[in-house]
Amino acid sequence: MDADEEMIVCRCEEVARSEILKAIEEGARTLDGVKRRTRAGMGLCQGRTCRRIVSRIIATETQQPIGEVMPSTFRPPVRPIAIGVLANEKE
Amino acid sequence: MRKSNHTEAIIIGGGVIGAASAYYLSKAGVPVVLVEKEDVASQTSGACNGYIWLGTKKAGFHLKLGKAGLELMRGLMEEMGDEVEHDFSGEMLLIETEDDLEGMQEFVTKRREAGVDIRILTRDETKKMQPAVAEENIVGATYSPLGMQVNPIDLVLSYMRRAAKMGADIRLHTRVIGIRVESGRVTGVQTDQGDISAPWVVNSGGIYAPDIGRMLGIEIPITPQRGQLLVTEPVPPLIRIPTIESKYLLVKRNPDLLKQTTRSGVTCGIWQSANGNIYLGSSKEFVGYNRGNTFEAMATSAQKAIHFYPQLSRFHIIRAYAGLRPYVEDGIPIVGPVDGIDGFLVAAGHGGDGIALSPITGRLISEFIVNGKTSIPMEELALSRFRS
Repeated sequence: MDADEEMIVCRCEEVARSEILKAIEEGARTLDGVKRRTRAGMGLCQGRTCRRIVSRIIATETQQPIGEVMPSTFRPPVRPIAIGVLANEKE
Repeated sequence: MRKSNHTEAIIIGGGVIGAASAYYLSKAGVPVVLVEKEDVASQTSGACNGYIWLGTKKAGFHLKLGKAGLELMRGLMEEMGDEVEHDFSGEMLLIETEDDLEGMQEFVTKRREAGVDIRILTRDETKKMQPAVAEENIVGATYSPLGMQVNPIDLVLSYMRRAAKMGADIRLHTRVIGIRVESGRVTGVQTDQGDISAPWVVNSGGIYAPDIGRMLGIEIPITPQRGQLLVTEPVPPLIRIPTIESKYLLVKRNPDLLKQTTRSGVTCGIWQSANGNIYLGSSKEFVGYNRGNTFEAMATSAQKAIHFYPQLSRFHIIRAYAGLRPYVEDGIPIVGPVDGIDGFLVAAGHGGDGIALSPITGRLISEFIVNGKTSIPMEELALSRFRS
């Protein structure tokens, strides 16, 4: 359905559902694979908002249990940190 | 399309080198199957910056390769430019001290002699070109208008997609578990999804190229070298020209200097993408296959960044990541045939130069398979140079 396909899944990078599906068709099976092809998850929130939706789409399209869809590596920082603060080394 | 299990060339590895090889071979009309155990650009190529610089190449053969690579890359961007983010912003190496300046002057002279358009800028000239720089912390810079940047993931995807359009069979999530040899020639590979036969096998496994080599009892001296990178939120344009501190070059020539002058081997490279994200990096560490981030490297990168660009202080890092360079001690990639087994080609060990040297590598592999001869002599790239 057209309306569904154009639904924006990743708001930070404005990635539509149709692009996610295209990425999966091309061989993406993980969040990383979708991210590399569409930028979904590369934006300001680093996938916090769209991670679950994208995982669900991947699980459905690739017929994997959602628990097996590999999460992107969880990388620091947990929350955005100013460069100046990082430079002061207050761990 | 029905998958055939016989082809002309099997390419192992779906990073930039494998993808470039598939592209050039397909362009030459050679049937190709590319096998990748995970996904496109899962390792090094998916965790690097995309500097295509001449200023950081060693004089001599390395520079020659770099020049060939840059020229080919410019041509590729004419073809792929709409789908591969790139810019021709030049390259700048910031010079901190008078001592460094002396070294860099020698460096520039050598390169000008080799025909590279590069020059030394005074402190004022540097400030004019790069207004955000803290001019009190530098004595000048080298500048070349030739340097360019590409988005590495865009590039790998573009090579891959175009290769597929030209007939390449790209098989992701397919792991090579053995290589078949008969009477001194490769006859194909065994994968976890069946066998594929071919008279040519290209080992573009990057950091895993040694594992592939060992399937044939061949030692390939590639070691993973970690590079950590930081990315900021999108911010207004601040960094006009990508820069690296010139220490980066001085430590390439003298690796002991690395331990003395910095932590985690961090040298400061900064660039800003069209989206506005600023990238800081990177480290140089030998930690096996560990792709984690460390606080020390992140803090050191941040410190160096604001030393040269104080305005960065208030911008926020949204992500750190790390890639593993396929490091080779002499800094030259390993490309070409091996002794004793016909049809097996290595195309790996590009260190931090994979993106920049991908076009020339793909070209050489294609030329070798199609003609048996290459536009650049391959002796200096040979695996046999490590025999000792």
